[in-house]
Amino acid sequence: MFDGFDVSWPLRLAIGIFTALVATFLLAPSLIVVPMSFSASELLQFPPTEFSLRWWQQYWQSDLWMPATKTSLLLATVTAAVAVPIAFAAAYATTRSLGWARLPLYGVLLMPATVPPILVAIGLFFVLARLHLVGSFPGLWLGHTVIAIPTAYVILSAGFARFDFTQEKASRSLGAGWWRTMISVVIPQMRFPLLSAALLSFLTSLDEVIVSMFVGGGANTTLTKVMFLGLRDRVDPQAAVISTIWIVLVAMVVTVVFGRQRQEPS
Amino acid sequence: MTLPAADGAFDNSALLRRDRKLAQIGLFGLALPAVLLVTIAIVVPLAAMFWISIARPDGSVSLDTYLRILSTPVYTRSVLTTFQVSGMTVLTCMLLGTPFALVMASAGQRLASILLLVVMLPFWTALLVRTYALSVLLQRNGLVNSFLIDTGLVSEPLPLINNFFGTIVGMTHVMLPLFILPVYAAIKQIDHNIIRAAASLGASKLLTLRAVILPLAANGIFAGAVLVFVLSLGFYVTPAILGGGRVPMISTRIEQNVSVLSDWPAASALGVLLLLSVGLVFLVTFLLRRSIKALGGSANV
Amino acid sequence: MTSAAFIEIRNLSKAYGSFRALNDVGLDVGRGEFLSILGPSGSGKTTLLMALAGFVRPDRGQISVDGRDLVRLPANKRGIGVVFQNYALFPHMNVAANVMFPLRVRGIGRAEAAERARKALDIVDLANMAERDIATLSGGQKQRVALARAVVFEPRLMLMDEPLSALDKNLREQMQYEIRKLHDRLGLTTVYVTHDQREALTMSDRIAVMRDGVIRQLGTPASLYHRPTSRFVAEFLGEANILELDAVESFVAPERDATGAGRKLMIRAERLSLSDASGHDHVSLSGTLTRSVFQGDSWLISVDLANGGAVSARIAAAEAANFNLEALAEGAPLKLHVRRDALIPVIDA
Repeated sequence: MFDGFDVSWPLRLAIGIFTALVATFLLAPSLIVVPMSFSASELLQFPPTEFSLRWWQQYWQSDLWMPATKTSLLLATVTAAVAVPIAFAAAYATTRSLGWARLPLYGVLLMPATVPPILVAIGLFFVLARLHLVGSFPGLWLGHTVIAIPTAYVILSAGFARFDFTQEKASRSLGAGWWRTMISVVIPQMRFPLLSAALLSFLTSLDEVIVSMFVGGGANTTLTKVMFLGLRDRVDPQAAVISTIWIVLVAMVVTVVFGRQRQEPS
Repeated sequence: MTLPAADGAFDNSALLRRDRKLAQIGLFGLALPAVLLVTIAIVVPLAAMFWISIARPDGSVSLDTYLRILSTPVYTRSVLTTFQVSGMTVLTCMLLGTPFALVMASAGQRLASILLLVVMLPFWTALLVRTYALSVLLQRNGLVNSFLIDTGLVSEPLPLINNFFGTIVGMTHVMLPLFILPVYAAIKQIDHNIIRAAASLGASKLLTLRAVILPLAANGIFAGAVLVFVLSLGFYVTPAILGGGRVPMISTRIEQNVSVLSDWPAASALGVLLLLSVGLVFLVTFLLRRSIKALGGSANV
Repeated sequence: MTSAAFIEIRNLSKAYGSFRALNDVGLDVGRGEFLSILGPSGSGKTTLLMALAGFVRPDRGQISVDGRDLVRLPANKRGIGVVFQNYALFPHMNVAANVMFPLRVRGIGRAEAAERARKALDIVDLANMAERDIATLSGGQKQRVALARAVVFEPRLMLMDEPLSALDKNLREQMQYEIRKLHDRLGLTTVYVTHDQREALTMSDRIAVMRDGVIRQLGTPASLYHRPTSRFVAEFLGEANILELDAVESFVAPERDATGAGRKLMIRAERLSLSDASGHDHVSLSGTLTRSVFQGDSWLISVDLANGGAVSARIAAAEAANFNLEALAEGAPLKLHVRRDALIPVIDA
């Protein structure tokens, strides 16, 4: 960018130090939890003084963390499974032109991302309390799906913006009906946006705190709720275990998705 | 050229219009499930909240709750704190994020993609995990304090969490990637020849930065700042954990009103105020952009 | 054209807001005919083709093919083969799968579909490329695959939307020839949209010239080229000199009365000649040379006429040599000759 200029070395050094500091600030929290999870200490500290697997063992046997992990994974899966098709249909419709209705539709579909999550949470809590659905799986599912919709919608809309709709015309001219065209032509070519949308919907649900706090409970307590309560009341080293699992899981999924995408230039 | 109408030809415009309408309705139908879910889960609850905030027990409408909130110091302080925290977060993001984005944009391909990964990685780590890790680093006997004491910079551990400072650090950590990405994108879009031209015209680095790059990046900086500000206004998790109860935001007050005090009218009214603040920021942004465009202030804001 | 026409288009109209893409269009296409729709961009030619294919829903009008009105029929039920501008091959399928697609959609078994696809690929000389990925094909090969895919299901009609516009000049000329050959071999009624007048003249049985959502003239390539009825068609199809009716002495409008208002006289540049061939079927125009440009196979000269107006004349190399055109200076007096039947009255629009 500055190829027309020469930069003096003290300035270079200062820029380098600044960049390294900001990078450290961004990275450190993600990185320190891994060694912390192997700490032997009762207290939470970094760097750990002694190492052990006791927290991993305890996590594995915990009747608090394990069910919450299962709930969260199931919830995230169901959220992605519903939010993605719904957002796909909406993105298709708004891309294929709905005339004047397009702008208000954008507004509605992006609303869950613009309304502060705390308001989504207490609003849902209020409505679900009337329906006696607080602490129920469907209640959590509704909240998470709605929060995942804008993410999935934006990714899929961007995908459709790059999609060549002549493909659809070609398919129809060759005799394929609407469904056949969707399944054989549109969806295969949208597989990367679909995969990204599914991944991010899954992560959005897994990461969601506030709706889970208000709407979850009992048998349907999510990982984030357990963690949040733990963090607020008493800093618990087991959170480091679940954080490590989390980071490894996401790193794996991201590597797989992006690795495949790089292989297949689209 | 007009040929005579074929045998049995008729004006079919009404039928064709109906076909077009049906196709349009079909498209609406595809968008409907998403719209319905958002309506059930967000629009209806928000409408209910609004009603609760203005309804008296006897069903009449009043602004009592709002007057109560505006005259209670606990609430007015939380409004003030919310704006302070949000403003401060935007400021730190600008101070850290803009130079960082500049470095990213001017770095070579390899370094740039590493830095991009650095910015993206926090996205892939759970919000709670990051907040948790920050609290470990910043606690009384945490890494940061030990480092400061070991190097002799301070003699007593500094209070780095459960206060305003900790909240800002946490908020900045969450928001910084969201700020850097649009700024980076905006700087990347600048035509390199403009910078070369500035160099060939004899402009110094500082002048080029101030007179050429920053104005052209202003679009991204502005977008990033608005995004960070709006998200900060309603943020809950980080102030709740790293603020340690000493940084009362509107969001944490709403939570308390619901789960501790069961004061739904106050929670709803605060919610409406929060929503209005968000709406106001968007409105001001929109008007600002439009008036700048109307003034012919070029495409860079 | 009688009512036995294979395609009958009547009163077809389509507006986008206040823009009238098709304005009461009528057109007949005969069975087995190769008809080109020629026009500048925005003339409505692609809209007309897409209405035929079923991708544009007109505001009103009839489109009947083989006696059946299909204006409300969905595109996938029309049985019309379409070749798109960018080929629109499916990138996630290989060549064979692309060509088999229309057959598989029709419920034809894999073995039979494969066999028919192989035959179709054979016709376009791509039999050995069946397993190739679309991304690995050249532009010309993609074009052939698109053709094979559009004919493999034996459509009753073939539509092509500027299919050659992405190819370079040499390949384009070769493909023009091959498309026409394929048409003749299969006897498939074809409607071909292009903005390239030379392409339309080369390939078509008949050409419909469109402008502003209206068909301005319909006819064989030769009749359109030699006897345009309007200034627009004349200029769109070739080098046309447009003169006032009285610019040519002793000009009597051939065939019809040409004294009406808004009429002009059109002479093709290559019909003007330096060779003196005066007689009762020729007229001569005298003037002065203002410019001469050597263009390889011919010279293009500009002449100011004595009676007012100016013309450009294309002089073939042999004739230019005879008259030693190279030595002629600007301002030299000159006499141009033209057959009377090359003086074409046209509407000035």
